[in-house]
Amino acid sequence: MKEAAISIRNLKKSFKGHLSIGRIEALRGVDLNVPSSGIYGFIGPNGAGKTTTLKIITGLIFPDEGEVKIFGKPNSEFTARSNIGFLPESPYFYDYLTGEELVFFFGSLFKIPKKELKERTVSLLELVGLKGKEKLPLRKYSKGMLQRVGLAQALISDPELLILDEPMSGLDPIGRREIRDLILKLKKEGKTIFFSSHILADAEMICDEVGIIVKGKIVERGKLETLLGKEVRFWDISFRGAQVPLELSQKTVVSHEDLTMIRVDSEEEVETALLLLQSNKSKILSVIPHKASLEEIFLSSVEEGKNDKQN
Amino acid sequence: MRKKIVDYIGIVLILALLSNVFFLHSEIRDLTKNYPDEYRSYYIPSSLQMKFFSLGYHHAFSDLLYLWFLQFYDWYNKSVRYSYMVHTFEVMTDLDPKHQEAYTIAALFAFIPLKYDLVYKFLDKGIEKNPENFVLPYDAGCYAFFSEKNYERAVKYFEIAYKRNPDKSLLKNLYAKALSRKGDLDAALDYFEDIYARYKDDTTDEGNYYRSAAMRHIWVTKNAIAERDVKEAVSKYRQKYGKNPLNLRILVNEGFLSKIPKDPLGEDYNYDSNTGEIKCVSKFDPKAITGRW
Amino acid sequence: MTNKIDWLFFIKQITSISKNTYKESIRSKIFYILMAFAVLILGFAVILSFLTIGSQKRIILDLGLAGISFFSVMTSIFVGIGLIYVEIEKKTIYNVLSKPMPRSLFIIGRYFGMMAVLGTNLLAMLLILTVLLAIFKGFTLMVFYAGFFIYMELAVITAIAIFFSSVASPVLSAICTLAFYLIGHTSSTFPEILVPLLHNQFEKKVAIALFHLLPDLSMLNVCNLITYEIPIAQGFTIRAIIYTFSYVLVLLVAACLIFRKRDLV
Repeated sequence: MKEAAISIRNLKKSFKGHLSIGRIEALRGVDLNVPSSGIYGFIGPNGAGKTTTLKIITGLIFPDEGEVKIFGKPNSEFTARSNIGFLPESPYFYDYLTGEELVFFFGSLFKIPKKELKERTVSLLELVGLKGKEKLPLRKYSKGMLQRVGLAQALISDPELLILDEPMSGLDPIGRREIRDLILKLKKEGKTIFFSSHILADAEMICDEVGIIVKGKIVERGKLETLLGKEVRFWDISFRGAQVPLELSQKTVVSHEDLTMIRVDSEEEVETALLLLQSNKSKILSVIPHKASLEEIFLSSVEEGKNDKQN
Repeated sequence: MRKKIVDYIGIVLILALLSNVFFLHSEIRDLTKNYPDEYRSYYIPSSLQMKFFSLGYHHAFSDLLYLWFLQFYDWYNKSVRYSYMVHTFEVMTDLDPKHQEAYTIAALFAFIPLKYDLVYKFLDKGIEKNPENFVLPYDAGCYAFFSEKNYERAVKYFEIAYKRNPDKSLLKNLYAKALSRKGDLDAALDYFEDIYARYKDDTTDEGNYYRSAAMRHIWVTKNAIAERDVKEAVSKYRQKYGKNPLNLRILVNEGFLSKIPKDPLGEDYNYDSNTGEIKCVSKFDPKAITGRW
Repeated sequence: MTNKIDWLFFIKQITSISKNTYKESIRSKIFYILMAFAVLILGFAVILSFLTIGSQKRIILDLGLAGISFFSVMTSIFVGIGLIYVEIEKKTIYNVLSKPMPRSLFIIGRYFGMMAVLGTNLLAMLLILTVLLAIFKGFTLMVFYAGFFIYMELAVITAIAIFFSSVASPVLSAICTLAFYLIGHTSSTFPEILVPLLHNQFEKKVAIALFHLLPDLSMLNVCNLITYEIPIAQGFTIRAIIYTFSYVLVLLVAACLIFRKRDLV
């Protein structure tokens, strides 16, 4: 088996509390193994310790306890960082530079010959779709463009491992889709991508494997298929109608003016519900089957985490 | 529409306030115009404090103080303009002890009301702090020589100036002149002769000037020495015999004079036994002198 | 991969950071505002020189050099205190430090970049001053000698600023750096002013020890000698340079040591 891209063992970190009173435990013993292929989603609610973990991996902060290895190298050595590309959460760049200058500047911190670096800058900016904008100062970039230029600078050293902190937060649907496509494209090129997110839909769509962190502890990890299962758990039916049939009123989830959504547990129930609704002259808008979603796993994990804390 | 009205009210208000400020200011200025002059004098910290506050830029601070000094003491119609002069001067020159203009200008300002003690006090400090500068003692000497007519003091300053720059004939000449005015004729003659020797064959403008000046000085000084010597001898003779000698030979024979004095051209003096004084008969003639000396 | 330290690569990284710092300052407004002020001060010196009796050259030289020095120091302090802190504040530092580069190189690179900016700034102002002096018939190349020592002073001040910038917030850094600037320019008066005020022998010794230990910036100020063309003491230049470098090194090493272990939250 190939060496893990990132292996984290028993990582602990606490910060000083407000006004230096007490300590806040951000990480309470994180173990993580990111295999050296595919896309790994690092998921957790806000404040769970995702960014802290990522900052420790990239050497921006130092753990109280535990160790981090990147391709088998302890991350306390700065050379361990030569094989990773990092995109921080909502990245801030030197806004006096142009996109081209920025990517070139970050590239110049790696051992890349100048000529090659120039070529790579051009091709990467094209890859992330910023062709024609490279001479614009960054203060004129939109948030999506900044995120893309951030990806370009993370890729400048052609790293095997990409660490992305919330790559899709704060973007509009189109921007998210573009970033998502880019990540998939990079996966095809054989890169390992480790990204954190609190947006489950994104993760569900592209991840091969996930780790869920809640309150500084990993509560669930594994391949997405094994976590999710295949079966349909329930169906959501939404319809427009003046009246909700009596039989269905108990199953109502949401009802707003003449719009109603009901949730049923089996295929037979779907059929009966649809018949009832048709006889009621309601207009059926959608019938959506639901598998066990990441959201459910996530929510139950969060619940567990809470209980854990109380205990 | 309402917004526009608010805008107009705002503009009107601003204009009204501005005019108010304008008139108030001129009114207040008028009110304070008749304050006594002391109101306009300023406090200057001590030199130690100024050294501390100037953060090492002593010269720049000294310059600023100097500029202010120039403006303030140039203020002829103010009665207080001399009140802080010494203090300001001290601070200014403590900050930059080599600032020559500070000393000379301060002395000039003190000279205008003829405060000679201040003039010399200012220049003395400069002379002390700048052991190589000859302009300051020269200045002080000039004040003493030409204005105060205190030749003893002039000798003191010109001597310093001359010793600091012995090559400058101007200083030597002034020093010798002061010496002769003070009465030290023999020393003066030595210096005049030095100057003459130096420019004897010099035909430049400077040379011509100093040569002819030296000639005249030597002429006058030599005569004065002879007159003085004879006068002394005569008074001694009179003390002994109760009358003036009949001629100069008697004085030589009696031992009151070493020899019979000759005038600068080698001629005899005309002796008047009634007054006991001698008179030079020869006329001052540069051409005649040039041949002989 | 070898474990040998690749010095050439380090130098390349430092140069990159420096270049970027240079660009940052050259493209920022504060740089030009301070430059404009310095030019104003030079103009003011010329105007003041018309008020004097005596040589105008002297006033322009004294006030010009003092103004240049003062504004360079202000630039150094007010840009220098942000060098590290603003990067942390704006989170731009995350990108840089996640690159395979020891953290200390970042500080050193920022420092050299800042020094390059200050050098450009200073050179421009000195050239203006020289031209002004030439107009008033006081042309002297000694201005550049004084400028060199102003630069030495800036090296110390910037090192102080960057040291504080890597540990404290800008306001605190500004106060501390300004305090050091004031101390540096007044510590030379300790034996003259402070020591006579103390009665205790021990206190006097402490004062004298501080006098020798604190950065003596006024010692590096040769502006006052230039006015009278007093020859600089033999061996002064080389010792002053070593003195400056030692001080800068002390501060940079301290800054690096602190910054090396700092969590960038």
